[in-house]
Amino acid sequence: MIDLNEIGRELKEKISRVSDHSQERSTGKIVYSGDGIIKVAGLPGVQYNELLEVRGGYQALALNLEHDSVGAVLFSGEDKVRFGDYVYSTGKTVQMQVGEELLGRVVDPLGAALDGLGEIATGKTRPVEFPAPAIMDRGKVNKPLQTGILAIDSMIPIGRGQRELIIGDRQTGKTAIAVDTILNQKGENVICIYVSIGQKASSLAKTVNTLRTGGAMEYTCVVCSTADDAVPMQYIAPYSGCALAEYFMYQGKDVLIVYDDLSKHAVAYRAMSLLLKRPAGREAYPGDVFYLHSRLLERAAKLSEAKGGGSITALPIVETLAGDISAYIPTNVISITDGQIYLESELFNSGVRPAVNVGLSVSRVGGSAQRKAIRQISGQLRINLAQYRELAIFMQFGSDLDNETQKTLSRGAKLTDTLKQRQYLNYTVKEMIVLLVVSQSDLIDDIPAKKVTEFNEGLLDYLRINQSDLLGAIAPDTAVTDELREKILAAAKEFIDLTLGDEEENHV
Amino acid sequence: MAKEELVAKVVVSEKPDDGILRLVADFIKQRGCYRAEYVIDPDILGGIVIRIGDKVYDGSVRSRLETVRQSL
Repeated sequence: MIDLNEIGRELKEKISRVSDHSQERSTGKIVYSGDGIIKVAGLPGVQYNELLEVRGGYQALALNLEHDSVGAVLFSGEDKVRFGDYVYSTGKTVQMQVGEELLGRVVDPLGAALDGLGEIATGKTRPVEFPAPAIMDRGKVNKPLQTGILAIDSMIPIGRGQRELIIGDRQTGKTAIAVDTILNQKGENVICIYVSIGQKASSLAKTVNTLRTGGAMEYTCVVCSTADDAVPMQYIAPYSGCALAEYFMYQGKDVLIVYDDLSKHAVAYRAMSLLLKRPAGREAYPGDVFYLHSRLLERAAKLSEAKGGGSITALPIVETLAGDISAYIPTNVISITDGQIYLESELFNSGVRPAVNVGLSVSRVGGSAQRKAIRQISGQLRINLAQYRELAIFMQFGSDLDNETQKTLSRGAKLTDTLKQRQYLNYTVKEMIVLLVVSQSDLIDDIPAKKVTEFNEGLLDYLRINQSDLLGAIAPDTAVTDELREKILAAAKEFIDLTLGDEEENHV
Repeated sequence: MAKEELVAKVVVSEKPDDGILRLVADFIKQRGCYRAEYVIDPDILGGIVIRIGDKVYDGSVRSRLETVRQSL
């Protein structure tokens, strides 16, 4: 039963807490309005980044404080404000609604629900712009963030608190990697935030649907600004997402945040800056476009134990044009982040999926956070692949190859195939250890070429069903012993005999 | 050129009585303004809004209700 008296008392208390004396506010008048930009005369004492209120209840953000006017961008009501309308200062900066209630929801950059599942009122907010943790408050990245993707976890490991850029042309599977990573955090105690910046509503709906059917929405919040949202909304979206992430990080929790994508964010900021008549620089981006992203990504951090030990791992996404990673925004973000995963359309189209270019992708800090067993057995992987690629290029000149070279080539091709992985099919650490051990042993010669991916999936299924104690015996945090290696290889051999036997029967 | 005289714009919901007129005169005098223009606007529901130059003092019932709405 709802106690009406109880509600009444609470209402009375809340209302009595609202201050009843009028405050002095500074005002100004709109002297220019166009393209979502307003210029306001007056407004003495207004601060940079202050939230303004336009008559009619529309909000704006003060961005240019000039001699005789204030330039501001409107969050809404672009076509409703009129010349001469009063504008009030609020003394506040933009606030994002935060709280556990936002998990499982799709919200706008101010924290209001967009998914039709009811209003969200947490009563808690955080400023959208917030200083990054100080040097002394930071700890060492020492825990891995498993993406569940073999190519990444073995060679480009990501640690909790790291910032790893996902970069590549359109249609190379950038979002797929981010979504796979979110899906893989199930049961890992990592809160995920997916920030969509200026994306098509249709692709966003698809992503949300994938997360929902994959059961990932329980620990995920989607902060969304679509392509038709006002430019300032797209501009603050990543900072809002980060404010929500900080709320959890300062509670000592681990957070993964995906910014999809920062090139559209830069474009939105460029549009705003040009309309505000700020001077244009390279590629018409304003002078502070580097700071735009550096201050955002600096907020991703691993806090020291004294500060609770929480972390924000950031996966910013940047879209390149025709593989040009030396364009302005890509070079900026590459230099800010702790490494990048470079995806290539050529690889993607030739069936290497995820289309990770192992040569150009690096992780600058994740190595120290890698699980011991994985680090031990993947150490040689990168070198082997590099040798293979070198030989493969050489082979194009066409000459007779000796047996040794042919063997290296065929092994290299199979190793590359081992790193292929279907979308939404994440491997656990133990499964990765099995695949890495098998693919780097002599057994790989027995696996028919072009069937490696199939074989791997079959092998893992076989182990899960028939040899679950073997999988259970693998300890990711200790080195792989020779004994364990033998056991894994024996089980793989058993599976090879089984499948190849079948195939021979089929041929008869 | 002489400085333009500052005029206070006062919005009230109904015709003000002498007491209010005196209070307003005192209030604006403290802020360096000696003339007031009155506007009657029932939309503010009650109370008073005084605007002097770039400053606004909003003591209307409407804005208070709005603050209450936001805090709930």
